[in-house]
Amino acid sequence: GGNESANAGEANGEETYSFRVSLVTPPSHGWTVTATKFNEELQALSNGRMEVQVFPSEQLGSEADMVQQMEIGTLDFGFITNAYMSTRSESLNAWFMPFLFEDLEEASQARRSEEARKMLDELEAQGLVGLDFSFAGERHVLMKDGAIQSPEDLKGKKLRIIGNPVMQEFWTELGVSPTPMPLGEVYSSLQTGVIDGIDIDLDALVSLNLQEISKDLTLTKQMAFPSVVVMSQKVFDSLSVEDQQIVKEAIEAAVDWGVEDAIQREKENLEFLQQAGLNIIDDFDTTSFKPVQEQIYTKYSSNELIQTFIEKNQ
Amino acid sequence: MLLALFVFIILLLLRIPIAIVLGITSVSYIVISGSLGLLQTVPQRLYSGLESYGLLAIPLFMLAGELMNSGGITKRLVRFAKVLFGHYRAGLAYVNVVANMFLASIIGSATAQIAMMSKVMVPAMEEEGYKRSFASATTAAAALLGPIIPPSMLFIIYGVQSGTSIGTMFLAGIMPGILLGVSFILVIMYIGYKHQLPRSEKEPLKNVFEASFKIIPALLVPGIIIIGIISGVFTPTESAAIACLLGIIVGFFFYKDLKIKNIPDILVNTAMTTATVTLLIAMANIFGWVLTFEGIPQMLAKAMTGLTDSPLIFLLLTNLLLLLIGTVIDGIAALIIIVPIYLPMIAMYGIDPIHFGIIICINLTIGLLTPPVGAGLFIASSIGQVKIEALTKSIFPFLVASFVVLIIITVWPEIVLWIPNLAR
Amino acid sequence: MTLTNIFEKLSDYVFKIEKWIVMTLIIAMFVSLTAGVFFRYYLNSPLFWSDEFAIFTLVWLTFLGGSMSIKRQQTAAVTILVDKLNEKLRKLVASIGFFIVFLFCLFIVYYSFIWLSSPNIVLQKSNSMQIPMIYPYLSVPLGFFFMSIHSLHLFLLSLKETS
Ligand code: NA
Ligand code: NA
Repeated sequence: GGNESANAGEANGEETYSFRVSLVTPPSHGWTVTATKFNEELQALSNGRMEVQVFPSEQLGSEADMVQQMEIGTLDFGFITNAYMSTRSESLNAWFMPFLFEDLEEASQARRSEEARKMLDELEAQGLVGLDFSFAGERHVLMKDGAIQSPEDLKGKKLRIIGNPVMQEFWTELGVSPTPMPLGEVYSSLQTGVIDGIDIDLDALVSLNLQEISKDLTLTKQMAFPSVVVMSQKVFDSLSVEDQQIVKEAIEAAVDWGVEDAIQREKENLEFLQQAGLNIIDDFDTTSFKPVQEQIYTKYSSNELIQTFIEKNQ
Repeated sequence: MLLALFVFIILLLLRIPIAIVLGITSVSYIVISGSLGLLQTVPQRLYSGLESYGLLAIPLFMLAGELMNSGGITKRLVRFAKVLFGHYRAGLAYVNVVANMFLASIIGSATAQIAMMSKVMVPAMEEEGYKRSFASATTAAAALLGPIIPPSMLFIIYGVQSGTSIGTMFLAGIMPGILLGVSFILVIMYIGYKHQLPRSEKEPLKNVFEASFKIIPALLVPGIIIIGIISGVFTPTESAAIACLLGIIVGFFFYKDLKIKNIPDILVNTAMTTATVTLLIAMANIFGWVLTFEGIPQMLAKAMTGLTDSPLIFLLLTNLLLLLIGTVIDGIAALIIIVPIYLPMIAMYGIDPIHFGIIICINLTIGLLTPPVGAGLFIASSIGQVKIEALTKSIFPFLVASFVVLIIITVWPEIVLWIPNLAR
Repeated sequence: MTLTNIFEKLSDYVFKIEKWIVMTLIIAMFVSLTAGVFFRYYLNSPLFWSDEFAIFTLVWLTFLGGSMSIKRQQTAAVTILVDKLNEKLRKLVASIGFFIVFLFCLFIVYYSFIWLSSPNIVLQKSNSMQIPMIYPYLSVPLGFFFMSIHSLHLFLLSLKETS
């Protein structure tokens, strides 16, 4: 053993492990479900020697806490949002380049690219092993009232966004008044009109029940929103080479499954929202958004990794 | 585990501040369990437990309370209430409950509401001849309505975690909120006749008119806040800042009771009362985190499912368990730990998640007032300057009433689901 | 001058500093949230920093205000046992209590030092304002350092009164 966090033990002369994986998302969210799948894969591949306990909903702390716990080696795995991780590693902003991917499938294929690998490798400097990217649905625009056809429709509108610099710049350039606000405040704020709309994925939209209080959903697909699946370097190094391989295979299988699940969920969510009476606009045209898109691409191309990532995926 | 419990009790008896006791207990538990690496994460966990938008309402509503107290608003509100209801036995105690129900439709957090109302009602009731402990207990109990009558931080968090409709949760909170309010009024009636609570002379009509006229600027505060929230000018958290602004305007310009020289004291008082609460939240957060890390809540829940097949017995047992948990961890922290553990279980028993959500939220809200650890109890005790023991004693009848309401809504889910079903 | 006197002066001085800082913090919190409403609703250009800034002031307020409430002994505590003791025993229990609080403060200060000297701390920037996270983080060690001064003073004082 020697590893206090992983609760290592011995059975029939072979090491057994009970890991912990921590997430900010609630139990029903796609990432949490993927983490549960990871547990199944791990148990199957290791013949029951390894298992991982899932801690959803920030039970083990905020994302800053998770990263710190992984650095020290008291936490084994984490699904960290790309929004948080990009505050600590610039190249990850590549995923937030607007209108880079046609759909979720295309975005998830980019996770196998050389650039994505390099982004994960850069995390090593922080005591983390970057394992993979897990996907939630693409981000769209939900408005209390009003479809989006051109930037004109967004001018002066108060849109709840995530407090990430790329998103902030993108929306500000479009003339939106970006309003960062905790997710828990969104329902009542949208209902009363503190905000006019939100930049959101369908999974979150449905779990927050925002369809109850809004009219128009434009499928803008402006960004992919992955989480970075990371492991504590300390814990990783304490495993045998074979066990390291098992962990890697298990996570890859789980994330592959998770992408399929996310695509399926997006379909189901869309059907549900249609039935719930939401007006869904699915022929959104990006042409009039091109100038702002180019501007953001140019600015973030100062990072070489982001530049190549854009070129290869455009 | 037992050793940590022992440390906890000894430290409490040594009169060490409860916030620090929670911190030391967590640290000793980490040391006992041998996961020494966790020690390094304690300071950051302390920090991030506070990084929450909703908590901002606490200092700002405390400040608003201080400003309204010094600015003469409270005085006139109480005077107004007194000329209307004071001549009934325990009149001011009823006013307290009704005012809290009214305030609950603006505020989403019990701790914030306890803080604000304790500042306002306790001195007023004491002046009328009520015992300080009874005044604090009435206020703290009535302020429990804060997160039950919508809006509610707890309902929002539960809705997000469980994937149920927040709007439906809000509607489902109305009947339990009314039941709780009525049960508190019954308790006051009983105590009022048993202990001959104060009543005053009936006021002449002239005084009634005068007091009603003077109250108009004071009513601007809740008036503007409600209109502001409903029309989307600001969020409930921001409304706390607006309440301060209005408190300043009314205190300085209408009543002219507020003086510049009062301001430093008001600010320092606000800082210290806020910090006693938020430091406790930060420490309780570490405590909950250590328990979760070691899988204690999960273990308890597993033990429960083995006990029964009946959903009703399961829910009643859950109430009992939550009551126990609520004695040491309460409110949002407990909700965050418990909901993910319970969700698969309620699906197994076929329990309506809305019904369950209301039960768990009311239970954890009651936990705010159960000793030895209860944030609401500590706030009421420190603001009302009543010893915890005396407060606990006075609060007991209100707790019993809340439990009765809790059992009623556990056994008859129709009560909870009635209004949501009407809206469908 | 005795050791107790020195710490009394020090503790009073720290309290004065804390007082000024918390007054500033509350005003800053109030102004930033009010300005947030004003800019969003009337000028239709939301301040992206107001919530985050207000949260940082709350964190600082908690640890400095917490330290002040230790000095003023206004924190919530259970007095059930202490109330039953005689004067001398009560002072003795108090001095033990203050010493334990003092040790706990040192513990937090020590581990905060390890935490904040990690090289990854400089990588962390806040979400909205992009300011280094070390600024809000520093509230933890500073608050507990001040708290350790107050509790050491209270310990020395009650020890003196016991003997
Ligand atoms: Na409420
Ligand atoms: Na409690």
